[in-house]
Amino acid sequence: MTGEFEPPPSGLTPDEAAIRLEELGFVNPQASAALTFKRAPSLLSLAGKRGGLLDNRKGNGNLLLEDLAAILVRDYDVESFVSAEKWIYSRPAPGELIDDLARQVDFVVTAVGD
Amino acid sequence: MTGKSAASMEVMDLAYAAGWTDGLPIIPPERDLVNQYIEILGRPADELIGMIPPLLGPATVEIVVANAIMAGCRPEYLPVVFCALEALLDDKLNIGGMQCSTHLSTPLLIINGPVRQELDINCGPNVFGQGWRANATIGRAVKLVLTNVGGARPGETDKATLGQPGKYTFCIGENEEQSPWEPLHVERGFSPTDSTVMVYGSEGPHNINNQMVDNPHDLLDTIASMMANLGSNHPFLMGESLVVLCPEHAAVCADAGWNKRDVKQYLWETARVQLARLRKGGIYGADVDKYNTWSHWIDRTRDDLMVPVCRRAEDITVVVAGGPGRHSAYLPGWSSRSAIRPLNEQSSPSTAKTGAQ
Repeated sequence: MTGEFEPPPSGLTPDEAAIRLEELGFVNPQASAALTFKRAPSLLSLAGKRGGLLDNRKGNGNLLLEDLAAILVRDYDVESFVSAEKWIYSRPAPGELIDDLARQVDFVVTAVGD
Repeated sequence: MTGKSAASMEVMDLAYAAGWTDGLPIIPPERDLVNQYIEILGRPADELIGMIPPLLGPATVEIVVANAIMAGCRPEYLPVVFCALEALLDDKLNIGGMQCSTHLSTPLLIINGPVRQELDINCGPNVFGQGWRANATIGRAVKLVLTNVGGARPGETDKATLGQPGKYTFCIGENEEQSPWEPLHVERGFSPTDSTVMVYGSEGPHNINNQMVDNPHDLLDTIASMMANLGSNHPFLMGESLVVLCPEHAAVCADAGWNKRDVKQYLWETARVQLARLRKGGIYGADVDKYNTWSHWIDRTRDDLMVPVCRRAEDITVVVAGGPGRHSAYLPGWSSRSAIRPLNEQSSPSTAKTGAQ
C-alpha cells in the first residue's frame, strides 16, 4: 500500500475518468491548480559554485543540511555555503529571504517535511 | 450490474477513479442540477470565492456548488458553505500549511446564530457525530473543496501521518440555548441575531468524563489535565485551543458565578507542563530554545517552570455544545488561529429559495 491514488480496475486513468464523466454531463468539481513552477536551468557543474542551505526549522533539518553540505564540498567541489532559516516551517519562505539567497548563491538546497 | 442503482454505481466508480471523491459515494454533479443550485443561490457561476491552498486552485461558485452537490447539500446550505470557505482563507488559519501537515488537524466548523434553526444544524446530543444532514453535508462540502480545488491529496500534498475521521466532515452548532453565557460569535463581536461560521484547525474531540463534579475547580482541573499533555502541539507551539463544555458542565461553572473569562483564566493558569518534561517530546526534543512562539517571560533555563498551553487566556476558546450527560471535550489544535465570518445578506439562506419549488 503506497498511499498513492491507484487507478480503478477498469484501467481508466483519473483524467480519462474525468473526461468520461464530463461527456456524461457532469460538472468537474476540480480546479486546475494556479500554482505552477518554472524550472530554473540546471547547473552543468557544482564545482566552484556557492550554495545556499535553507533550513525549514524542523528538528534535525539543520543537521541534515550541514552533513549534505559537507559532502557537496568534499565530493563536488562546491566553494562554500550560505545558511538561512525560515521563521516557521508551516509557511512558505518569505520572498525577501528567497531574493536575498538568490543574490548570494548559485543554488539552494532545502529540507521539507519532519 | 443491473437494477435501479446500477447506473449510479457506475458513475460512483468513475467519480472515484477520477479522484473526485473522499472515498464515500457522492451525488453526481449533473450540469442541470448545478445550474439549478446556482440559480437558487443567486450568484454568478464564474464568481471567484478565492484561491484554495496549497495548490491555489480557483474556487468559483460553479465549482463549489458542484462539490456541495457531491457532498449531498441542499441548496439552502450553500451560503454556509461559502461562508466557511471565506473564513478558511483567512491567513491566520494558515490552511495551506494545515492541508500539507503531517499533523492530523483539519478544519472544524462551528456555527452560531439563527441559521442553526433555519437549517436544522445539530447543536445538541451527538453533536460531533452522525445523523443531521446539514452538519454532515456542509462539513463534507468544505472538505471536498479543500481536496478537489486546493489540491491536498493524501500521500501527495497532504502529508498527514494518520489523518482523522473529521477529514470527511467536521461541523457542529453551538448550543446557545443551553449555554449560560454569551455565545461564541457574540464574544467575537457579532450580534446575537447574526449567523456566523468559525473555522478552527482541530484534532478530534478528547472526551472529558466527570460525572460527580459540583464545583468549577474540580471540573476545570479535570479539563486542564487533558490540556497539559506532551502529545498535542500547544505546550510547544502555543496557538489557540478549544474546549467544548456540555450544558451540565457549563452550568456547574455558571451556578458558582463563573463567567467564560473566569473559566479561560483558570484553565490558562492550571493547564501547564513543566519545562523539563517538554524536553521529552514536541518538535525539538531537548532543544527548547528553538521554540520561537513562546512568551518572552518563559525562562528556558528553568526546568521547573510551568509552561502554559497558550500565550494568554483569550487563546482558549470555550463553547457549549452537546446534550444531556456529563461529558465535555478538549480539542487541541494545529496551533494556528481560528477565523470567523458572518453570513451576509447576499449569502443568507433566507434570501435563497429552498429549492422545493
